[in-house]
Amino acid sequence: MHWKRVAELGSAGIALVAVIAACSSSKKTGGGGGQSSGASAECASFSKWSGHSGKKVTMYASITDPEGQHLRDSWKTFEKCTGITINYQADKAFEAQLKIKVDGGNAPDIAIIPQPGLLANFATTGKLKPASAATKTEATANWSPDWIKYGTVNGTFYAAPMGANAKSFIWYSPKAFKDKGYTVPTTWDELIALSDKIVADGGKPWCAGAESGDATGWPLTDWMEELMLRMHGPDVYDKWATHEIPFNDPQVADVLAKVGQILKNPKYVNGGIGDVKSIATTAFQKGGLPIETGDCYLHAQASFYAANWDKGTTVGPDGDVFAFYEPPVNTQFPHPVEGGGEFVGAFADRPEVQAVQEYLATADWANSRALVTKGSGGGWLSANKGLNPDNLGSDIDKLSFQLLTDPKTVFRFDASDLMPSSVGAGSFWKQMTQWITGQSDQATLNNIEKSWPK
Amino acid sequence: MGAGSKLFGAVVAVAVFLAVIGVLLLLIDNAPKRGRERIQAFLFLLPALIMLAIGLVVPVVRTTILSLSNDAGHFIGLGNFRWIWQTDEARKALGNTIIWVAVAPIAATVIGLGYAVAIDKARGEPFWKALVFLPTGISGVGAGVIWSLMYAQPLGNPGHQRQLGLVNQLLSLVGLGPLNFPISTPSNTFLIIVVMIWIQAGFATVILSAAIKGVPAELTEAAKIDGANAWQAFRRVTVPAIRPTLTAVFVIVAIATLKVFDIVRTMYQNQGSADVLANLMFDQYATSSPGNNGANHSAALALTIFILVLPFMAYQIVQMKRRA
Repeated sequence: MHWKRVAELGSAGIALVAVIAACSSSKKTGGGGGQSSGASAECASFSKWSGHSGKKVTMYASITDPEGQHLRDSWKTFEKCTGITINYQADKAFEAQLKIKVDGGNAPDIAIIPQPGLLANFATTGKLKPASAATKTEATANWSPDWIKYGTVNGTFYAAPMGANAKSFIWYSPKAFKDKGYTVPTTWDELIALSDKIVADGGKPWCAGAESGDATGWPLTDWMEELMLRMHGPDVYDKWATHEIPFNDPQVADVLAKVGQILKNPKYVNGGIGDVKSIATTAFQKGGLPIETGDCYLHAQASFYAANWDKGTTVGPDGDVFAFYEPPVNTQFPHPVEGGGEFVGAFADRPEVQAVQEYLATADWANSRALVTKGSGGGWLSANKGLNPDNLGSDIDKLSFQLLTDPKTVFRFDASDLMPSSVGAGSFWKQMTQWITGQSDQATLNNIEKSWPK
Repeated sequence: MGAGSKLFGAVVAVAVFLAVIGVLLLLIDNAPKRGRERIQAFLFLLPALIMLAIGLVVPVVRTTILSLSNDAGHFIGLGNFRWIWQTDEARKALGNTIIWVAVAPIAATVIGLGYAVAIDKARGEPFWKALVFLPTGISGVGAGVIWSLMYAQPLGNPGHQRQLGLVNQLLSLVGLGPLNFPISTPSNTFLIIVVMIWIQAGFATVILSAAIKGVPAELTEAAKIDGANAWQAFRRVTVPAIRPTLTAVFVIVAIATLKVFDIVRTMYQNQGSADVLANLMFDQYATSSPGNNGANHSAALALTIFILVLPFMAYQIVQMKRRA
């Protein structure tokens, strides 16, 4: 009797083997073929990364298509010439999922991390591998010390910067300004005078949107960061981001009060959308759109907002919309720029992983990446000094690049990305959302201070 | 690792699996005659027990240890539970979860029952049933997105309007002005609960409808002959007859409500006032950073949800035992 049962189990087992075999053999071609085909001049510059043919590198990032596809296109030649295959995976829930992957022992070889704070978490817990000497040399040659600092944790260099964006912009309509006789302000006082003038003309000057799903509130934290940098300068900014001064310090309170003078002023906001509270529930992608219809005149948002304008809107110095540099508040800190970007961190130190890391830090890669998007109107840039501005696809990309690489510029990374994620991606966002819907300045700052990890 | 060695690994794994099963079967077959059934039962249960230990017992123990320590691994007693009690956002989430449990299961069960009775033996009953059952097939995320659009606030001045949700359109018609959904406390919690009820009422309808059909017609007829009106027959005959099903439906919806995550995650947009325990649990883990005990707070929240689920489970088990 029981032998029959054993036989049944046996046949089930054989079926299982067949299924598993079918699954594992479906992907049998690794790399291999690359090297022979491209031994030409095209591959000459990749020769220092040879010897890893057939190796695979897994990469995980928050950059989804179409930018994800652009990214994959940008390293095609590298893959072809070196024989290294980069298995790229993108996920909108990247930040939380990366933590789960790392905690669960499935860390990717390389992660493209947009928050230096998160990078530092993985570095201090010993999960991240330091960058190779070659990557460090390449990166320090291409980026300013301000940028290198953000890829460095406790004196060890972990990750080279990759893409960048400039945040210190105010979007406006050059056409509307011309029609109404408004001029682009170059100081904060002029900006406020312009806002009052628009009010006197019967308009609502500002519009804003802070809703962004799980990340609701971040556009408001950007407002605070810009003004912190402009009112108190880079040193106080750094102390604030690293909690050397408490979050409810009087200097921080000054900044929030100044943000409130615009965002909580019912005469100034929310042009074309609603009242002050509507800022909390308006999608950040839609926050500036009333500029197109003349219902709003000013919208503070990063360079990447260019992607959100409706089709048919021309973006340029004489077009329907463009951006001007967010003016300084005082003469003491004349040229601060806030921005963001990504860093290429590695959880493995195999030679092929280090080769990919090094390649992504080169000017060659930055130019290759820029050329991929040039045809489709731009939307990508880097603070890599070796990037040729002619390869950038749009006026706003060129303006951002110029701003980021200007020697006068004092650059600071988005502070909420530097803070511990429980604050920078948690209480800071949430409390600023509460603030715009009516919570007092002091309660807001006290609540964030209380949430700072001890 | 090449495809060849992967295949080899798979073959070895299957071979080991078969060998273990084979040995197990042989052991069972040759077990001593005395107490043989017990040994057989134990050996057959063994694989399931091992799986349960790996998949359930170990995580529960680990979560419990996490919830009683800080992120440096030191034991801190009930500190993380105290954090739930002392933090505004956690207290808010706990309060909202209690509102959820107080409203959603009863509403879903009552609506389901009412609807099941109303369409019972009506013309086109399968159609009416399908109509209310369809939302049950929609994922929580899908339902959340649909209802977010329904509740969307107006954007843009009159004449340039870019979006206007149906609910706000209807509210404006009766002069109740637009509702700024995600930040209108406390109505935002109730508006999200509506989505849960919308999903669960269909489930309740289908199960309760089947139960009502199982009530012998003689009973209700006898009641009517004795002079009971329709309401009395329903109240005194039908409801007692389907009580076990009613409690089961209630308990299932209540447990689903306690664990609700996807709908809230999709709809409440991190606004701080409509949060629930399961969402806060995920948030605390996802944004934890060294020194803030986020993962430990998260574990404490997970245990809190588990403790809140227990009474419902106990109630259901008692009900089951009473029937047996």
